[in-house]
Amino acid sequence: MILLEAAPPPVRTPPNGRTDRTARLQRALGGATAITMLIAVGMSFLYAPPDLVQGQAQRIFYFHVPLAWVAYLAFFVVLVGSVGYLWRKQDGWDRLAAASAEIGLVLTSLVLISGSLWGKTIWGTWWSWDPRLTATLVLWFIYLGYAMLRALTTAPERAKRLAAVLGIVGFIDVPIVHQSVVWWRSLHPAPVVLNAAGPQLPGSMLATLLVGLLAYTLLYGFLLVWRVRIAGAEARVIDRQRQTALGEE
Amino acid sequence: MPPTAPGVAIAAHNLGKSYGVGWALRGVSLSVAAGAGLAVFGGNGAGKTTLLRLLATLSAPSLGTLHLLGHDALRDPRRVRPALGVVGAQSYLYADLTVAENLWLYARLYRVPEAGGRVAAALAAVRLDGVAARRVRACSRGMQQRLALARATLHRPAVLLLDEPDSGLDADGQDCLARLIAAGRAAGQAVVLATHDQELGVALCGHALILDAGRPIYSAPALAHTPAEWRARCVLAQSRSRVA
Amino acid sequence: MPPGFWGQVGSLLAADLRREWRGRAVVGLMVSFVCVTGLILNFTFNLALESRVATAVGAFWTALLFATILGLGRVFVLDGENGVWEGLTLILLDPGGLFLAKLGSNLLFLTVLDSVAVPVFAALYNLPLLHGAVLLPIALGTLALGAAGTLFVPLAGASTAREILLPVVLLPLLVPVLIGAVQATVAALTPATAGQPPWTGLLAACAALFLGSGYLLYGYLLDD
Repeated sequence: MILLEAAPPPVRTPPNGRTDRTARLQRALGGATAITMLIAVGMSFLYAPPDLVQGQAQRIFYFHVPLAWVAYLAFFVVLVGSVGYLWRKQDGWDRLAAASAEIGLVLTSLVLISGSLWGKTIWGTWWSWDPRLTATLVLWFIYLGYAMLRALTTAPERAKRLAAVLGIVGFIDVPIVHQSVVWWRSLHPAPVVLNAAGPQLPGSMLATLLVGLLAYTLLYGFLLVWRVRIAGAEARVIDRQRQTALGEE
Repeated sequence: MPPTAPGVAIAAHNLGKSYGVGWALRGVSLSVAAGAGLAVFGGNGAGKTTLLRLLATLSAPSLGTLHLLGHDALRDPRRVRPALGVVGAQSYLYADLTVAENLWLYARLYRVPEAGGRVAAALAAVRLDGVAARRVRACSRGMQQRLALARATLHRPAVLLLDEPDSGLDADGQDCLARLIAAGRAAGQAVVLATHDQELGVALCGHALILDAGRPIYSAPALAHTPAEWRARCVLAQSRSRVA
Repeated sequence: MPPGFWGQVGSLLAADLRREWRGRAVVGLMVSFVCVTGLILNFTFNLALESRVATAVGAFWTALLFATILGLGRVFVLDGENGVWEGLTLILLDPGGLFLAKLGSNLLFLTVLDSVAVPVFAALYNLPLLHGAVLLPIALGTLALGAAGTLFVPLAGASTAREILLPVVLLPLLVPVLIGAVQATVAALTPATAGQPPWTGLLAACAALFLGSGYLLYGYLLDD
């Protein structure tokens, strides 16, 4: 009535085709990123004209705005990965969310730093509670919380699940945070650092901005694919260690 | 996916649980029919608690399959949980409620029919009727353990999973435990009992399994050996793994 | 007659309230904290400014926020005793129902907190907090804080570094609740202001977010 055989466990490796495909994708993205980034940086400094009011300092705009866009994109991908993980319970979705959150946190830091530098140059203060910067700061904290939750929860399966819950609620909260901060700031109008992102951009500025958006999106994609592959390789190493421990005796 | 034969309450195949790189449990396959009892012996750290938590769906296995009452317990654990009675390391008792209030609450949460009668019967079965109005915080360890038993059997689960239920029990309590298990098995409950007490295990269960270092070492019908022989086998298994 | 869904939720809620009545650990902690904080904030903020009302309302919500986090954290610790929290995963009730039961008891504790905090702050800072229009933002704000706390305290509590993790995870998410609550309360107290952004709507949206995600996602906090 009681069986005692211990079947040999299967060792899990991805089919070689899949590894090759993602490696090729990563190389392609890397190449495309390098080229477009070169063009974008070149255009930011050489092609786009200096701003009438802010002078050369306004060029930070071509870094700051695309970074902000990509930071929000990264957090949308965290949402996608979180929902995917809770729904499908496959680790691949969790790795996507974790990688995107990591990259997003770094990018958001760059948004804040570039925004702060811009503010210092134009207004003389490191921080001006500009509504969009403030909302970005709150976003940064939300994802800091995400990173800390992952780092400090010891049980790995539980960490993935809880991070997914936070990833979902955090992202939905983002537009609410944004709107609330904009309304809050409207009570006490202060210099707005980012009003150069208005609709009346001359053609050359707009073109530079769009190229920058493309370049930074490709950069994000490249980093994301790379990071996910690293995470996948880490998981396979742990898996193999476990199978070895299992196979002993 | 092997279909579960009718009458098999627990069907586990190659269960394994890993925390990090090491394995707390591996290669455990077992099958317990309705009305049958399985005793699990093993030293501290042998994996008894891990096994029982896996069977209770409180923990998800890293490897293997588990079918409880014909349902895939891994895909949809919530569906089978109400049919389980669990006594574990923690008592699941509200310290600031009385003995009776705890049972009443669980009677309602498990949607037990005729709750009044059942609660009274459960209290009588573990001989706690005299202290029904005492707060759990004021009860001794042995009394709390009895109450945990009552709580686990209140809803007449089809599967009873007991992790060292005899710890902290006096002779009277052990008598209650034995009666509860015997009555449950007679009514068709499948029982898995992890214990250090080989006498108890052999007396109450039809089969026994020895675990050591997370692996199944030996298994046989309970009456194939005397309790002393079972103890000797446990000790031998432990010393072997220590040397290895 | 075995209870249905709401009967079970009610039983859990009643059990939680009974436990609190006997120990009075949570409400006592929250109420004493809010009163002491109300005192302290008087010394840390200069209330002689023209914006006295706004500052006092800000102090009120600050005290309420931290009292809520402390109190709900204590609830979680008490629920960990004897593994009761894990025991609840075994019962026949879907996780949404568990969330509602927990939310119900937490909100009742917070209502007790409010009913002490409001008169205390009204008296100390001469704020007319006790008339109709002000109670709506207070109620909505409490609802949003309670729902967010009910969902996120166990989420952060699952790790051993709970005390560090809870504020870092919860407070940024609550930024819109705080903005909305303070501004809505101020707007209710100074009716002369026109053309205000919809603060109450903002609070309602936050409450809806936390209620909805709590109800739908609570199950993921319970497993393993």
